[in-house]
Amino acid sequence: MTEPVLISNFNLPFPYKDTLRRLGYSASSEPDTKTTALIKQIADEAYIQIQPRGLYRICTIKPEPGCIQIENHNLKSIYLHNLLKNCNIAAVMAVTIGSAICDQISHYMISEPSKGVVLDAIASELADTAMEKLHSIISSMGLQKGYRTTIRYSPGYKDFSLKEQAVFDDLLNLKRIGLEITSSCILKPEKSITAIAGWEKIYE
Amino acid sequence: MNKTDLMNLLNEKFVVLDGATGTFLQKEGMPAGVCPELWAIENPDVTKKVHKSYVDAGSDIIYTCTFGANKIKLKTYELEKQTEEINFKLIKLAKESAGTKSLVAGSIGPTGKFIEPVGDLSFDEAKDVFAEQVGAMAEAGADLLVIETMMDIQEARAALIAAKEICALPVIVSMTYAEDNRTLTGTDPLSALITLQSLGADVVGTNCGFGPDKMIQIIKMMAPYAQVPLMAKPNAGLPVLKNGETVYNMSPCEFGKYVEDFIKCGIRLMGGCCGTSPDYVTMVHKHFKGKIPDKFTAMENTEGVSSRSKTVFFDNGKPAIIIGERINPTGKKVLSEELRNGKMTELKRLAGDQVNAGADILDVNVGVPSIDEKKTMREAIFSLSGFTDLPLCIDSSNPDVIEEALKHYPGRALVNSLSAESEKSNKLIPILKKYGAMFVFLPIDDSGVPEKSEQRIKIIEETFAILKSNGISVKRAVVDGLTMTVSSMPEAPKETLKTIQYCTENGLLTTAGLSNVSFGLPDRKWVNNAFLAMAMSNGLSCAILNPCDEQTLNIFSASCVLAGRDKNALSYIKRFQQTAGEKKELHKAEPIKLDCRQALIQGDKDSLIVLLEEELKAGKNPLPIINEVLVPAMQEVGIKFNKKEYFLPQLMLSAEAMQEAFAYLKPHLSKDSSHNIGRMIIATVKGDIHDIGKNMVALMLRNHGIEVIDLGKDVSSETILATAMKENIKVIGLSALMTTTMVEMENVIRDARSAGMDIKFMVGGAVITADYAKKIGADGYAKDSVEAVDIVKSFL
Repeated sequence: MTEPVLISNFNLPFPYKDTLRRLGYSASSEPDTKTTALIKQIADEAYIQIQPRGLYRICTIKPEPGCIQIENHNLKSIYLHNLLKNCNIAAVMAVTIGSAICDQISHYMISEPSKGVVLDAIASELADTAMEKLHSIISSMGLQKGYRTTIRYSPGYKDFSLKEQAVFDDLLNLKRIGLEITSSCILKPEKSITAIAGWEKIYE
Repeated sequence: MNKTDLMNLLNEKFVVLDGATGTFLQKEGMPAGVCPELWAIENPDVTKKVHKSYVDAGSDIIYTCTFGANKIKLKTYELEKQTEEINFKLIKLAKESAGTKSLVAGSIGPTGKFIEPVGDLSFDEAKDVFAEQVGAMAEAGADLLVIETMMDIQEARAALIAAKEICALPVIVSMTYAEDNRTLTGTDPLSALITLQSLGADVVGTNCGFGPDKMIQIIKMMAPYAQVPLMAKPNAGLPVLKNGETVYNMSPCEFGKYVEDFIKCGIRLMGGCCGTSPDYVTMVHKHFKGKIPDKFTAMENTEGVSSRSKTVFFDNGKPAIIIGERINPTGKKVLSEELRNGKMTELKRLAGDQVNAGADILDVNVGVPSIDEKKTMREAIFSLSGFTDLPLCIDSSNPDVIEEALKHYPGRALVNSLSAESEKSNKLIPILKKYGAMFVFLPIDDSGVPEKSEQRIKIIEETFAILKSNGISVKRAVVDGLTMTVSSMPEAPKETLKTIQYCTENGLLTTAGLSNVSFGLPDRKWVNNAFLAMAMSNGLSCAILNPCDEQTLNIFSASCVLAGRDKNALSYIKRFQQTAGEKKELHKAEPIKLDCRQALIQGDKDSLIVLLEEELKAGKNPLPIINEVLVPAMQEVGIKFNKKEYFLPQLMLSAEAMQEAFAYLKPHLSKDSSHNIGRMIIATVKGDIHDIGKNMVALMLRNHGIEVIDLGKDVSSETILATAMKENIKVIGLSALMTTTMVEMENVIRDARSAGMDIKFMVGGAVITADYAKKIGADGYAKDSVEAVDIVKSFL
């Protein structure tokens, strides 16, 4: 088991299509000129506000029936177990894009809700993009060591309880990136994600 | 061995490197989980066997088993105090194995930590860690150093700078790229090359990765710009699990087939990385044997600056470079105030505007009086390097500030500026040399700004002789023509242009600030832009200007065409096609005469207020406007949203317009007239901090004449019910986003029912379903804000 590694300040590409999807657009529907300009304007603002920071830790794991043993913890979830059943190593990850953008969303929801909903969608997708970036770093590292990386799985997915956020905190020390977990197991600042992905050997 | 010796060797022959060491040691019995370096020392015969196998296979250079022998990695095994000893012993072991047949390269690998601001390891700390390792290697007699498998350009820079500070051994720097041909922290091969060769790496290359096929592409990206020899050390394909063991799927023969292609692409050194063995090295040796390389010559016209992930070249045959000048606190109150308070929001906004406007490089000046400029510059570099991929121009009059910036800048920067003023130049020249930066040169000496171009040229020639004697190529200089004010010195612009012309004729790069020329004149930008065009016609390489000024950029673009710098006017055409497109769109977006209904449906709040004003002036009563025009229009918007003709931003734009319309009409309504159809409470339940959805619902409800008491987020059942009791409310809307908090909705409903309160509950939120709503006893479930309006109306 390695120490948690901090990684931040990474450039994030603009997740335009995912933002549109989050705003309700389907693959075949394009926003009108006015909305496109609004999204562009708010995206520029979003990039000024965000502070992407992440943590990852490579851990040895032991898949047990209905759970995954990781360090001194058990992550209970049948779905997670099924995902990681062929892995003996996993990456535990957390990302946040900071609190400034969340404050700006709140501000806009009062003053200009149209900007608020667009910024909220962009921020959610940027947090997801940040996690995707971390996941791809882990995947590249894994591939060079002969591992294929599984998809990432987060507390809140299916039977993987949000209560397991505490394990992520224990393994990563989330306050290093300014994250805290509320008594309802919600990450704060809001635009933050925790996840786990396994490394499985590549078979010929 | 010194740099010249290495270059001589590379001019004599293609140099064979060794193959994998770690996997070889494992095959020879090294167990998993041990410290490989310690194991290699404790098993000297095995280590020597590995080295000798490569020597016998034809390796001209073998790497030592010191890849992880830095203090940070050794700390994992509590061996950090033995760092020097471990490195010393392992170099000696390799030297004994190599004898006189091969050279020994001290291998330096990553620490496993990322450097600030990407990680939390400081640059100085990283440099010290590598310096310790390098010191021991040099003392033990390493012939050269190899910084390898680097995945972060900043870590490679720290190791290279440490090596250069500690000893004069030649250094190979080898980066590792992921499948997208970028390092883990986003650096492309070209930016890595530009950065590392400017810092004094003697060889640049790549190792590990995804096999020879992929690695050839990386070499091809670097070769046209290489001022140093290139190397490659690919894996034997990709690892797979076979019979329980990790193996690489490429045979030595297949591997060997790529050697010729690598030679054609321009490499002079090659070996193997993971999965390779002496058999693979033998194949490289076989293909290299008997081939004599051409004498190495550095590629020309490849001076450029780089960021972590982008390179910009200065090329007088191509469109001139735009250096955005806006990040400068002079005359900018907001920026000055924020920099004083350590805030970088305005700085990023200015950067973003210039990036969008087409700048190639961003000038960064944070010189606010009495500020800690060093600290502020470092923070600015950290912020900007994560915000934009444009290379930066470090602008300060203080050499200490410049050094701090160059240290933390993850690329090759442009420095603004060096002059011939003795005190400043004595301090700055060694810094420029150490960090390999390009620089703007001001032909000013201790006697001040020379008026005549002849005097300026004399200063340029004298200073450039000093630079050459310091080993700094004059190609790294961008000469500032020195723009003076035409209103006080009518001949000044001519002198500037003559200076630029001289530099152009002598193959030197040039720049000029524009705005000084027009000081004291009215409508200054005409003078500035005319001067820009004249400077361009004299060969200006780059202009420091405000890229957000459309007129200036248009003149700039046209001048590039007229000066023969924009082949087939491609950049010009692209710019004006884009502008024409934008204008067309703008024209298309111009509204035809709207009425209130249309303005609301289009979410055009400005037009709506104007139209309402006209309606009131015409004597119309505000209440019918609300009930007969605005509310039905909002309903129409709701229908469009349900039909997926409208989406969330449009729904909110209309809602916002409606809100403004109400606010505008309210003072005009008579006291007894109201469009209110009822009251309700809305809240996000206890434990939940998400309120975007709830806020949208509240806005839509208000727009339909419902008075909403919004209790906010994380609201307890007690507060919700007490407010309902006090305000005599009969409808409550509850929101929750998470599975952990949605259970609280049930508590609120149960508490209300137990208290015998006659209240209708509507629930909603991302994880809520109609079934769940029914299960907890809610009276209604709304999937979105439009549906919420219908449900609440049915309750009232």
